[in-house]
Amino acid sequence: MKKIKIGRLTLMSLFCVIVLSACASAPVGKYKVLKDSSQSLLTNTTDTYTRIEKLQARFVITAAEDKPIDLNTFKPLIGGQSFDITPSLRYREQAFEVLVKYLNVLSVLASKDYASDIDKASIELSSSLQPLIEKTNAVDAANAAKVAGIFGTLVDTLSRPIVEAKRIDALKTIMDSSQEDLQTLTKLLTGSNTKIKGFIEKARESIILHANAARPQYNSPLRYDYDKNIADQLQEIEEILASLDAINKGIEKIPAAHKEIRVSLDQKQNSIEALKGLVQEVQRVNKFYRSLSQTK
Amino acid sequence: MSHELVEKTTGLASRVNNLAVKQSGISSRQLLIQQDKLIKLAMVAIVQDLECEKPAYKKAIDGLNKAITAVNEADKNISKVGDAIKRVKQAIDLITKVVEIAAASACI
Repeated sequence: MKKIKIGRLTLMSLFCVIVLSACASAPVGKYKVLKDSSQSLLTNTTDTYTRIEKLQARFVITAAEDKPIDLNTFKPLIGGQSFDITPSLRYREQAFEVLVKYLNVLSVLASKDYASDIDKASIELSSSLQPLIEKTNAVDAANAAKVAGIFGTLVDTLSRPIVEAKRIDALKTIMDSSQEDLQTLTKLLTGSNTKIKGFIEKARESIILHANAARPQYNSPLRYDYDKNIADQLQEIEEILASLDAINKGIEKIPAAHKEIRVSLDQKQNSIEALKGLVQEVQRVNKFYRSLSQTK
Repeated sequence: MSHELVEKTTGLASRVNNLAVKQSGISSRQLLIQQDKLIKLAMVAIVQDLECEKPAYKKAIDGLNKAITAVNEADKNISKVGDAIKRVKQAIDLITKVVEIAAASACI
């Protein structure tokens, strides 16, 4: 199973970035940690939802009704009504992707190097100024170069604070306006995951019901293979349920971390408690997945 | 509504199960079939409940998409500082050419 994970070392280096960027105008490291943590939760969500889809595909066979096979026998249908959860999972995954995309563009805006562009423009400007000053016979060539250099430095010095002020203003405005939607979306995602857990628990009930009805006789050679298959299915369900719980704990921390970074732009608060909480939850989810891959 | 339906269907399935374990033979088997149908109907209700959340999701997604657009706009806006300097440079280049032409005319 291919997964993008944030390892312990990466997380430690990300915290170093936070500390180092504490003096900078925009807390670049914090934005990166928020973006990477959310991406990691999305990756785990995609994995878990894929496992649920596979579980459903197996479930419709295990729990098929006792009647002749027709075209609908192995479809998630009961009395003509669908209990196919796949479209609901995909929709939620796409919604989560929008959230991660938002945090990604925010991180890009916070870290983008506008200064080098300004530096280049300033150098070009001063190199253009020199011939003009010379040609108007205002000063000689040596002094013209000096004047052009001073002018270029002045433009450069004035432009940098303007750019930083614009960047901080934009981050503040955008983060303020999106805080509520971010909270709503994370609440919806965790609520949906709880309902999805309910769906899986129902599937488990049905699997147990069918398993008991068709279980081979005690001491028969078929019994052990049969039980092993059922035990694997029940174990898989346990793991999916635990994974959804772990993902929810991480998602719940995103709005507070977002708000914490927004407040830090005003320098009223430099706490990273919420962000630390999010990173810890992401570490737990990743450790959980690592231990699962070891048992497979 | 769907949430209530899930709870009621689940409760009914549980009662049918209690009844089924006290029965034997055909009655028990029929009750288990009924229980399985109720479980699957509860799953239908959960899926419908998830579908009902879509408008709320859409509102939040639209809000975040607007924020993404705002970030892109801000990026363009900040880049304009560099562009403004480039435009000043272009103006200076133009003025330099005008001065050159004027100087050449004066020599004639």
